[in-house]
Amino acid sequence: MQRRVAITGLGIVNPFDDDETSANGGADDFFRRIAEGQSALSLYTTEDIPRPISIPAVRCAAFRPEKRLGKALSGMMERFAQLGVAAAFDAWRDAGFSRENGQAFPTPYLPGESGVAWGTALGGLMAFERGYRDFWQHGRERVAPMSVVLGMNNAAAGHISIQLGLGNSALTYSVACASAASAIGEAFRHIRRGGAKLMVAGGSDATLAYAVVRAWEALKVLAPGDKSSAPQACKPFHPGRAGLVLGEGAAALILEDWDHAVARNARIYAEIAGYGANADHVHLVRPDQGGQVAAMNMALGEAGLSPAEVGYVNAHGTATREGDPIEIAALREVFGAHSEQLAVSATKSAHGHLMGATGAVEALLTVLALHHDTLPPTAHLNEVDASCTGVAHVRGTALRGRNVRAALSNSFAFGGSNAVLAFKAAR
Amino acid sequence: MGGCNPPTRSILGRELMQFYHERRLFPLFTRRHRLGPALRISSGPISVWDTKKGAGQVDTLGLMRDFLAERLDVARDKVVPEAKLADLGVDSLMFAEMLFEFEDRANTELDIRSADALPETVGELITLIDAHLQTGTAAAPAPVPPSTPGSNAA
Repeated sequence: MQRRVAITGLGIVNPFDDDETSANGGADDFFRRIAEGQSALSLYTTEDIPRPISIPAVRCAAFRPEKRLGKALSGMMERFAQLGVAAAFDAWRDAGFSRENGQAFPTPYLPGESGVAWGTALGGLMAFERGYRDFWQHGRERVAPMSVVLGMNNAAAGHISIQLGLGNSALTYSVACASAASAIGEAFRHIRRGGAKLMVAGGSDATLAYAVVRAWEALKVLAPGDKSSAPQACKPFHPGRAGLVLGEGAAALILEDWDHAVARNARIYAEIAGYGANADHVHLVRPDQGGQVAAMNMALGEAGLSPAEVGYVNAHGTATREGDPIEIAALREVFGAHSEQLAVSATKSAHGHLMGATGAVEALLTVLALHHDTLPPTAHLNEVDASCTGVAHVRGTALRGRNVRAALSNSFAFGGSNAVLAFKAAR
Repeated sequence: MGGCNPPTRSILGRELMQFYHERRLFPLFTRRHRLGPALRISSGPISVWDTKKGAGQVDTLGLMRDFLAERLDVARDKVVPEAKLADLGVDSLMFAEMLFEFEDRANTELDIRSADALPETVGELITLIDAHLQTGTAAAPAPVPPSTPGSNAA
């Protein structure tokens, strides 16, 4: 028998926080601001040598790992793990579970019934980048032993499982921009098949490592901008779109066996009902309409949804010249005549592209869109490019009260991997 | 100078680094002791101490207190010879990290492997370190060759 799966907790490191005092209640605050069309983008500058960085980006500037996690724990983690564990802790509390004195208390589940599925594209890369800098730039002759556990890509999943007492699988999915969506989808299937009763699923990435920024610059897909234009630098579907904007951060969702969630009288934000995972098997970086169509159809099929039942899609929408029209074409192919009424937005316009974490942030927004029946907009979309028409773009501020019953969240990755999540309203 | 405050703000140090970097002269100047403190950049959580002392000058207990306060938020007055390392939060990983810091600080290499049995108390660890320092088993660190792909695989 296949189990239904509920979303019962949400957590995020909210990039809109401007001081530590506003760190609690992050997911709702984050959603409200995205719904209002606010932008978390700003000009990110460093004095790194050999060449300073100055790009529009999203940085969780107010995030204080020592304060959120404690000095001893945060010191055991690289930034991507710090971000991830902080988001997981918030989701855990949001689901009604507690954690005191460094121990998780108690869920109705045995440790072996709860696990972690985590996405990250870059993982602990910063630890190794720092090591290289120490060697070649700073004249050090060795790196600290802690580098091993700081740099490993499953560090976030490991810390989450230890800190929350989760003894089921603790797996890390590294699928470029589809990492977190894949993690959430795999966690969903794990519970659906009866393999676990609760999974902490999400993703985190610290994307602003020096070499990472330089590599994306070299690909010439980063949107340019100065201090005044940076907040509007990411313009999916817009004729003036000029590329993606890197963001760092993390989001976590608590996925729970539906019947058990009901039995413990948990708040259910939404149901995760379908997951489409496939590979374009065409090209390493060029998006493929056929692959995206197949992934969306797979998610709809698993969720038992017809296209007309879907009222909103959180698009992958990175604001690249090539990618956006292909995704719109794929949406039109999947949704046919319904596509003209299908509300679509690309929230990366406001929170940036968090690489391996982006699918978790967008899943969180999609879940809250259903929960609040409020569809967040594509920020700054005052004009739609002719190549991106044919769907009902959400522009300006959120659409409210549309009685949307089901929604998709799309993630399409370099390497050709696609991950589409299908959610149903719990209202 | 605070332990974890990167001294990179030194204008002289930054300009000097830039100069060497642009001219690809770094291989001639990569030994930390030749560069001096302005170029010894603390790297995130790794470095606790700024200045080095000779082996005979090392205050082992003081260094341990600094390390545990900085890394694990342990009150200095709890780091006493009879305290158990496990009670202070020192596991095998932190033990290796502490030895690394200690070697950095003392400009030496201690012939203690983290695979060996861990001392149980602060006092035992002090005795172990001091013994290695005093009996001359400490050796100056050899230059580390550049890593090659796969060489750091666990």
